[in-house]
Amino acid sequence: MTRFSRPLRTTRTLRRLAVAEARAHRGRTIAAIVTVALGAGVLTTTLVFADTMRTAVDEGLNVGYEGSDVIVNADQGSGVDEAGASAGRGGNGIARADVARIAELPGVAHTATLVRATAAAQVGAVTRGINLESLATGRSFVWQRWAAGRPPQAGNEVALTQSSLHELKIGLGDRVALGNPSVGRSVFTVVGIVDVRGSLSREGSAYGIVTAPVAEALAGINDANVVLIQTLPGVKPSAVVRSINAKAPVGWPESTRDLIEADRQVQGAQIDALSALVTGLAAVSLIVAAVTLATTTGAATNSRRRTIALARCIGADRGNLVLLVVLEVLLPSLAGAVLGVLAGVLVARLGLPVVGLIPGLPALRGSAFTVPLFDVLAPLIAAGVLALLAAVIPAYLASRIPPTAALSGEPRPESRHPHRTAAGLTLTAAVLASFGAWGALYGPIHDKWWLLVAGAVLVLIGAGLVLAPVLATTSRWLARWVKAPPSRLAFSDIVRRPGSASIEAVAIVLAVGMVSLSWVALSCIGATTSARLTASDQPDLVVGAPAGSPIVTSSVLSRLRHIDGVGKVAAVPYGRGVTIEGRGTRSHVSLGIGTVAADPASLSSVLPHGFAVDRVRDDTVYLPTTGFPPFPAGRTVTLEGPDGTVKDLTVSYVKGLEVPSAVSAATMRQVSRQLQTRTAWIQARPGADRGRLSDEVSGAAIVGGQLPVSGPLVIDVRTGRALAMARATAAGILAVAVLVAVIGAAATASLVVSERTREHAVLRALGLERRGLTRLLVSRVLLVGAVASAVGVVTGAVLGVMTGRAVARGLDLPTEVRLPLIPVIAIAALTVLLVRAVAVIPLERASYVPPSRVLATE
Amino acid sequence: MVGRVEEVGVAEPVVVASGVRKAFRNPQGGAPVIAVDDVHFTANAGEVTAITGPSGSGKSTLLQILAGLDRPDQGTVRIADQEITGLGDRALSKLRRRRLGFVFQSFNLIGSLSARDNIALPIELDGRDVDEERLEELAASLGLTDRLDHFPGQLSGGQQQRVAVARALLIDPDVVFADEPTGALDPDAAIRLTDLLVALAHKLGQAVVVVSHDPTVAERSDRVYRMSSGLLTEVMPDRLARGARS
Repeated sequence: MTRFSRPLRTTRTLRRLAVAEARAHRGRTIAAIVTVALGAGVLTTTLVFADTMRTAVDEGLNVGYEGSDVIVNADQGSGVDEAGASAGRGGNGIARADVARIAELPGVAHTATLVRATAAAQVGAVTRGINLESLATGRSFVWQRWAAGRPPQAGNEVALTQSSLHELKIGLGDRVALGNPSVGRSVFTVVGIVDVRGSLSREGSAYGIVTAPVAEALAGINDANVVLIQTLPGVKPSAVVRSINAKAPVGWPESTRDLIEADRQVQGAQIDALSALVTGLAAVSLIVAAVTLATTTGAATNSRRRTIALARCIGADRGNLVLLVVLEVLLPSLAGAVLGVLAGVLVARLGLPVVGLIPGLPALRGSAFTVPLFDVLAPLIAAGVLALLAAVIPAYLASRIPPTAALSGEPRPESRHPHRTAAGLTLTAAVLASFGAWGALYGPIHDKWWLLVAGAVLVLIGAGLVLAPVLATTSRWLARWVKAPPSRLAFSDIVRRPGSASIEAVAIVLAVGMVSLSWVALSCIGATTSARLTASDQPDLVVGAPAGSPIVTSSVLSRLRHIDGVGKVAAVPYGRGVTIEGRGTRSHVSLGIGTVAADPASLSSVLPHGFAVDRVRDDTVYLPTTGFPPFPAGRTVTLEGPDGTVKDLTVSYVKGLEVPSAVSAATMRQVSRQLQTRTAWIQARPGADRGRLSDEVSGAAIVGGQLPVSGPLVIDVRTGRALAMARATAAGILAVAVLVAVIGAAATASLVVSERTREHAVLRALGLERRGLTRLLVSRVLLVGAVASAVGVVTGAVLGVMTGRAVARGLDLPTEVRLPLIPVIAIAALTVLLVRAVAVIPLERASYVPPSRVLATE
Repeated sequence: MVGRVEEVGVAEPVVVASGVRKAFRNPQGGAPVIAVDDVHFTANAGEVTAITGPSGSGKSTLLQILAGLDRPDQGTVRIADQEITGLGDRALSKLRRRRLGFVFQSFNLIGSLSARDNIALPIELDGRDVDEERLEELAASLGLTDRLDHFPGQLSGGQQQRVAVARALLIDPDVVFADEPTGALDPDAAIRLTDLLVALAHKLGQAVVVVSHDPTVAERSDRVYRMSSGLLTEVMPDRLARGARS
């Protein structure tokens, strides 16, 4: 025998033993495989989704620029489409002569043009803003394809994307009204479905193709507003950009590479943040799986105490036992990880169409499906490492079992002094939780985020430790009140052996705690931002803008006033063509930012804290306080307008002034008799459905000429929706963690039950009916599940509030605490029911223990 | 000694088995293993009836059938005039709760319950109130008064077995079934327990059926059966045989 053959043979023997053990306890092995498979599967799915999304973004960013090396956009118009190009009414076109000059520049191979415009699309009561384009004039520049139908050829034809048709609830051959206030509206027939081949900018919002004349009419121009350029081979696009700027200064030339890179940075940052969040949540499932592995293995080690001691008696050393336990954990874990990874990849592939239905996420095509080696290896390695960690404590405990334990008839009592043990555990838990809470509170204050994480881990460990005393106390209390003998027996058992009951529950505490944490934290963050926005000095909604946007017409104002949920609407009158002239800190300043003829009474009616100026003086120009004041305070300036000039107006800076500048109505009349309503301020009615109000006001603003809509209510609604989405995502992913924990708890309960087969047989022999035995087992499982869920909910809520507080502090906001009791309690109740459901098979099997088993010697 | 047997004068049969047969599937294939073969058995009130025999002879299987823990393939078992082989799970459970007591080799106490709770368990499972006075009395007669609030892990083997006997007797059963009750005890404790069972049977008038290969049990029993390869034969108790010889 060589020097190494003996250890190898021992390892082989131990591996054989581990496999035999796995075969002998199929239920436990299957539970271990399923839990690890679920954890690894969710992690794989999220990783593959994230990479597929990145690929889709790359493909989507490139596809819209196919055939073009340089793009020249016309001057900025009133609207900006998703691609960042200027378009819409009021912009300038690029004259044909300028296009011809560009085509003659050195390095340019081919040019083409197209027209971009924005409009409102309306079908019945549904109104959407839509980006429209004509097809590029050069065939090689046309990147769009046709999913159905054909391109528009006549002036009353339009082709729309499938998602646009879906939004407008119409199909091929149906009719849709397109238009804007400057050109009116016209009815178009849908003749084709555009395939935008995953272009993010076209899929993110409504998009369609019209003929060039229609697009020009909607854009309010007579020429194209986009020039597409192909460069000669070997010519750098940047050189052509420089050449256009130098020799044909028209529009805004940019290389497509720069445009793609800029978009990639924006999209990439969003996807990175999203995938980090989702992957983090998915990793929780794998961690919970590791905890369940540790608990089931620990319980299995305890139930095999005598067998392990016998192994020691016949010569196995501690190392052998450690290796045995490690192999028992590692083998099913790796099998589960492999299955999980395969299932995860499959689920990711099958789930691609679902991603596109989630608002804010790109539609994923099969061609973008990407499975990098990392996505496969990372869950496998993570599962292996976590399995090793899960085996550490059970392996250590197994190695500490003395050979003399083989001689003892009864299992070792859990504790000789249960009360002292409970007090010690409670004290330790309290100390750990206190340190954890201190870390979680202190860390964010001093920008030490690791302290928050470490604190959260300590609080969770504390929650795990306090489980046993809480279970014992609850069971003792219940045993006093419950009359049914089976339930009393179950509770008495927990009172005596709270440790083994708490082992079943640790994973549930972790999983439910994470769900509770995410819900409470997101609710607190939502409430904090909402409170901040509600406390703002601004009106709830602002339609229009002081400059660069169409005027808010009286019909729009009327439409706004009739929207359900609108309390008051104030038209903010701006003087037409008014500027403020004067000497700034260094040189002459001419401010054309928009000046309001202020009527404090009218404006105060829609502002939460009233207009910042009570009485507007005729000799004063009011400007909002900023970090960069254009004029020194108190300086005299001149107000100039089409109808006159007013000199020697004193500049006064006002904190919280919600307009760019303001004068009295009398002063305004002297310089500009024609007032324009450039913005409308809206105050929401208390109790109004803010989401619906925001949507309806946005719809009216689109119809009113693509008017921008802003204000705290819009941000509040957007934030609320984003947080709701985050909550749903977190709940969805963490539901897998809960399922993993529940399966683990059922497996551990099943082990505990099988360990007590003789006790159950005694009870049956003494006259306990099968139904009574089932009741006993169910009472135990329900109590353990309920206490674990309650401890998890409370721990998660505490950590959630701490996290919300940390985030609020990071945003420099006072914390608003929100405890969404109903959903959190519902989660806990569902978890208990899930525990009951998953434990059905092991408990039913256990209840079939024949009373004759009582005579079996082992 | 004064007992119900002497008062009644005639021993009343409480457990009667006729033509009982039980076979098990052979794990290695082939013909089934016959554990109990056409057994006829009677145990009388106020008597200790021992079933002895070597390991694997089928005596524990017979005990399970007699006590309603298992069902025979053939034959009938009657306990106090009630045919039990045809009873369902609920009726059998009720029978065990109210009319049968059990004492096992490895005590089989519930580790999470105190000695008092273990003794009271069958009564509580039946939903009845425990007669604390009787429990204390029984515990005193078994020398357990100061051990009632101890848990099984805190008791010696002999004490645990006495708790098991008290548990079996508290319900005032018609029959006490004991499977190797002295198997886990030292010789002195085994003799004390056997004497206790005999005395209680005679005093309380209950039938006690003991499966054991302990000669001290057979020696002290009123009636002895010998089991061998599934076949049961009644033999003369040793003390009677000795008496006959002398």
